[in-house]
Amino acid sequence: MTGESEPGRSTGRPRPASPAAAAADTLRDLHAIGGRSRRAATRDTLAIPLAIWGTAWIAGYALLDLAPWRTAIPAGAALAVAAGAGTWLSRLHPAVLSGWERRTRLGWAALMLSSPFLVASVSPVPGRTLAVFLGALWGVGILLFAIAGGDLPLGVVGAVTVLAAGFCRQVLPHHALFGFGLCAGGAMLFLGGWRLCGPALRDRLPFGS
Amino acid sequence: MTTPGTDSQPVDVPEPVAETLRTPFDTVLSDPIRLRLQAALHGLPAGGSVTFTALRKTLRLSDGNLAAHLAVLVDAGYAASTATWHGKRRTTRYAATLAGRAAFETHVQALEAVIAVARPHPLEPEL
Repeated sequence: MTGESEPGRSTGRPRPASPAAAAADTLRDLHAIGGRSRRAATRDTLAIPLAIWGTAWIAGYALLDLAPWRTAIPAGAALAVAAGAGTWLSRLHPAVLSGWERRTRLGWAALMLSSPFLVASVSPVPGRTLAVFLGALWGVGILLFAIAGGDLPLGVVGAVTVLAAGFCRQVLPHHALFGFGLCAGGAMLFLGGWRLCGPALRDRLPFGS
Repeated sequence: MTTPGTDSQPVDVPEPVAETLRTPFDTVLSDPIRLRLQAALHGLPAGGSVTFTALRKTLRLSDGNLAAHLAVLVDAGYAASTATWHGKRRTTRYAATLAGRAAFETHVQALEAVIAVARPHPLEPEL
């Protein structure tokens, strides 16, 4: 050592080599922060609702398929009410708001309120067929919501829901409800679980994120 | 426009980049903490907002530090705050204003201009 201070080493902290490198570092940091905010406002807010509804769909459609309808319908309705309450509670004091909450609620309300009329328009239809049809309709709702919000993984869940409805009706005629609930609910549960636990899991991986 | 290069040779800079470089950096956003705060608010969709607590956790700042920098952003008109009450609990939310979004984008363009000027010209041999 000559005693002269070397750039970037004198303070013990790594320093960018030039203003351009400093600007590039700053821009990278800003993009990362902006991306985190966007995810927090859109994707992260859906993690708990997706996990709740995924579980409810798996259990509800399994009940409709395996239990007598006299028991399955009230139990399924109770599951839906519980899932709705869980979703409401999870969004009671949200840390981040996207600004679309009201429009999203209106959109889902419109879909739910139009469901009985759509059912009436295709009736009479066997109850099992109707249950899959309604699930596929709500899957289209998920798909459109994902397209509007630019949420690709959620779009995949919506598409899986619609495809599973058609596939299970054709391939599993006797257990279409169970198969459909498992595919659609499983996709929701997986995405919700990944969004809840994914960041923590990625941090634990030896090869980083 | 020509600007001095690293070896005192003038460097040709495209006029839009030169214009950006002539504009002084925004003094409010020149502070790195305020710039990161504005980035966090800018990342939210238009109409979106975030609580004080969430900002503190995201940016890992102390209450006092965060409050001081947010106050500067609010005073400059770059951020807007709204307070809501849940019983006795007060929640303050922050959102980027249109002026704040524009100032942030200008600042980012200025940073991009700094990088663009430093990038070697495609026909210029690197020494």
